[in-house]
Amino acid sequence: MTRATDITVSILMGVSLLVLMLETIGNRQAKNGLFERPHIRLLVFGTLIATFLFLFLDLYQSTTLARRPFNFLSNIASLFMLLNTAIAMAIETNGKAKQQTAEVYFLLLASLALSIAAVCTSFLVLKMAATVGWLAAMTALVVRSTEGGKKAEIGLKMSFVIIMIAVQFIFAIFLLSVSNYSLDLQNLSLQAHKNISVALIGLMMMVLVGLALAGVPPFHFGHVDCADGGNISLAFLFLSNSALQGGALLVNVRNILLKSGMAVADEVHLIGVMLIFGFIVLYLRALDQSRLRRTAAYIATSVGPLFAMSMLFGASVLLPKLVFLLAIFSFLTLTLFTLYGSLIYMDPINLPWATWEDMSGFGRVKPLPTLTFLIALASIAGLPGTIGYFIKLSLIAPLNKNILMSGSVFLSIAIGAAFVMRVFVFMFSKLPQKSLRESASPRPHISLIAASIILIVLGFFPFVH
Amino acid sequence: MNLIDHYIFSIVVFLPLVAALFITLVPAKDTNSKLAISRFFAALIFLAFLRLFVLFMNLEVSSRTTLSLGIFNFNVTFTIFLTKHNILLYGAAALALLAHTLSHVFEDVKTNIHQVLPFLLTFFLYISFGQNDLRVALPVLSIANFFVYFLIGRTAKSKRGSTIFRMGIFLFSCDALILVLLQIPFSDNLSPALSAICNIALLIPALSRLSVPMFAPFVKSLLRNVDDAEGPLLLIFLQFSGVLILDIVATDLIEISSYLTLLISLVTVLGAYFVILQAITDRRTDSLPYYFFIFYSSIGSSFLFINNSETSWYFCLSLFLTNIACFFHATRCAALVKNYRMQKIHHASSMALWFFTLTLLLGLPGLGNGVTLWPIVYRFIGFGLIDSSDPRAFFWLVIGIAWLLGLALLSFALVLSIRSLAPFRPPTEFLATLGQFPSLRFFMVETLVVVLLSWIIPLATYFTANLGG
Repeated sequence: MTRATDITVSILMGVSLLVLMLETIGNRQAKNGLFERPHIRLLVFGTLIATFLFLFLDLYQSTTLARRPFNFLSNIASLFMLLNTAIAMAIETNGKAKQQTAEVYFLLLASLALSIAAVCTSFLVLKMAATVGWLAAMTALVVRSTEGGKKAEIGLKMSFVIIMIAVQFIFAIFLLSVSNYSLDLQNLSLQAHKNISVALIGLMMMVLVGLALAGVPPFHFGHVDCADGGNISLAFLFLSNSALQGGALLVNVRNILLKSGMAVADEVHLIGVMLIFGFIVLYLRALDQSRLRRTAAYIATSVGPLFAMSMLFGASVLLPKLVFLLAIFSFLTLTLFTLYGSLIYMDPINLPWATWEDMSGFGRVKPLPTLTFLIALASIAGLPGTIGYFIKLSLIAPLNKNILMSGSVFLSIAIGAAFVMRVFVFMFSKLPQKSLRESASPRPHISLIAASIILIVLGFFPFVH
Repeated sequence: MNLIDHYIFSIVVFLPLVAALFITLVPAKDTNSKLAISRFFAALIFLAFLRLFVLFMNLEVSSRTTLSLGIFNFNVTFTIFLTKHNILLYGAAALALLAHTLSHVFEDVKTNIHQVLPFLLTFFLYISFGQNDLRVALPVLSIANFFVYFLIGRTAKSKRGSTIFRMGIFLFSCDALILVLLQIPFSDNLSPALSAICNIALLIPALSRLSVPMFAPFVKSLLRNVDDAEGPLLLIFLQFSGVLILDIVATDLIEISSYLTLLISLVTVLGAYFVILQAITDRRTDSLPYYFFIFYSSIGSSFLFINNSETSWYFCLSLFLTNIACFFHATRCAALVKNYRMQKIHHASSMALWFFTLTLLLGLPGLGNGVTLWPIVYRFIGFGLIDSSDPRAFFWLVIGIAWLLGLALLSFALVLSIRSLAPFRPPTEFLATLGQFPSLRFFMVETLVVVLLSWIIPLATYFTANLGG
């Protein structure tokens, strides 16, 4: 961890404890809702802004940022994690005020501090502790915000994921230790005179953790349920920050393999195949869903694998490295924000039992939020003319010898076109039902419209050759 | 004037976007004001194009316009090019927009989308016309397809959903395929068969937009599920985008081999005959212009590959543009005739008008599509007769004759459809109901305008082709 991230994590930890105290006192005084505690919200927002500015200025002042942006990957990821948390809170503020249980802000800040620590630390043991802690905190948040029987399902699945990830981490640590390798990822490189095969198995364990965090099926069990069952802001936060952590871990492993100077192209490509297989499976699952929230959850989860693939393989000839990196991070945040931000304004979609038929003609009644929802879907699908398309295209040139991967990218766009057109037909082509005509929801926030415009406008500037 | 001249190209490109903003600002219920603004801007765009064309002919306009934006030492540059290949496309799109706004019945339109989308489609077309790289133009055209789906989705046709679904998946997949293929660096020693397959794949987005059968499996349902008022505009948008993609692909991206030429010719002829069979069995008056439209598009697509020369391109462009003009007019006349049939009235004047319109479609020499059709057919046959030693020459002769035979069969379909027109009514009865429909005199004038256009387009193409610089 750099000095700046150390300070950031410390501030967040400290403030989270303060927030816990405030929430506990507030909880004893009255069972208030989340929006009836403005002093806590102000404190949390203030902390987020302060730490964001601190990290940003630290990054801005570094002289090697433009030349070697991948050295600052953890700092950039931390910035986006802060941003995502702020957005998640803003989404909640825009939406309907729901009665929240206590310690929500504490859990938010604590999970943020843990996720930043997990991304920034190079010590494997600390990474394990932070990752498992983050998953536990997020699970607690999601379970608290979920209503009905879904709560138990999410709790069960996420517990299993946490145990699996902890076991895989422990196994990786054990294997690296017994073969006398360093547990500091910065100093870890495979050496011919040590036991390479055991260390490789250890690294593969870390890859499996990375894949699980990125939400790649069949290595994860709870992402879709968290995105489906929990409230919208938490779904956004969980998916975006887990993708950042998963991507960062996979990049760590790739760097170790490359640093080892071995013929590791096949191993790296294997990760790519697993990722691309994962997001095609998610797309296919999205196609056969009849419930809306579930479909949106599958599609949103597919952003994680795509993000991880871009981090591992993406390249642009036309763009400076830093700008390209920022484009990948922005894609993750913007698409998920637009997708879940639109859902806030689509009331019927939030009902777990609402199907496509129930939403027929919704686009005719509420054209603006439906349009932003559609743009987010198109961007995730990678339809030509959206930023998602360029993100997918940036994978092809570096993988030119791998026809299977290029074919899979094309296949993913074709399947993506199918689910986008399915949504389009239901939302805009069919006549609205009477109940939909009578429903009233506020006009989408300007930031949501701006985000969807950015997703389209960036698609007109080709930044891959 | 000099200041306007300096920015005239930018004005032409961005005026449709400005128009869309102004129309949106007018309250949705005030359709008359929206209509007036639409017509004003459409006329303004056309006038701006005329000025641009004059400046282009005098070589007084820059061939490239660059818009750049710099943030933190990072420059984003957006360039649009004006060339001999695309200047007429700009003009044709401006004219199509003007014709659409003059003819569109706004009383039927309930939402802002219908009023704004023609301008947005034109804007997206203008942006893509100015590109010489398919990797820039195709994503713009691809996302603009959503406007087409919006308009189809708003019709009252029963199968509109499945039409949008099939068309959307097909076009997006084709576009993605071509863009993915462009990213893969193929080696030069590719086998001829693989090379031909790649070339065909690169041509699919263009040929599918040109509605060439076999490349556009969605066309049949598209024709049946578009609105009478907006259908022609949608087809014309697809046609323009197809012509642009075809130009870029044929000029820059593929090497036209004899194998590819033969294959394209064969497939387009077979596709055209499929359309002819459809026309013979369909017999609906309002569908006929669509079948002729597809038929001539197929001829144009086939002819472009006969030899890779500039002359072929200008012949094709001339045919495509004349076809668009005739098609637009014919669909409007067909809608009028359909209205009369629904009222069970028909009169000599309207019948004469319909017949005259059909002559534009029939390809009679010197009239409508026939102005550019016959030179193309002569070239097909000429290739067969001039070089009889070449075994392919005979093939060209057969293809030329096949096109003529196809046209004859399509005319037969036309005769079949006319047989089922409504019975003749006396003038007094006819005039009593005439007030409900647009003026026949207006349609007469429009027919004459199209006849004039069918001459102006080849002349303008000829002058543009022979322009120095």
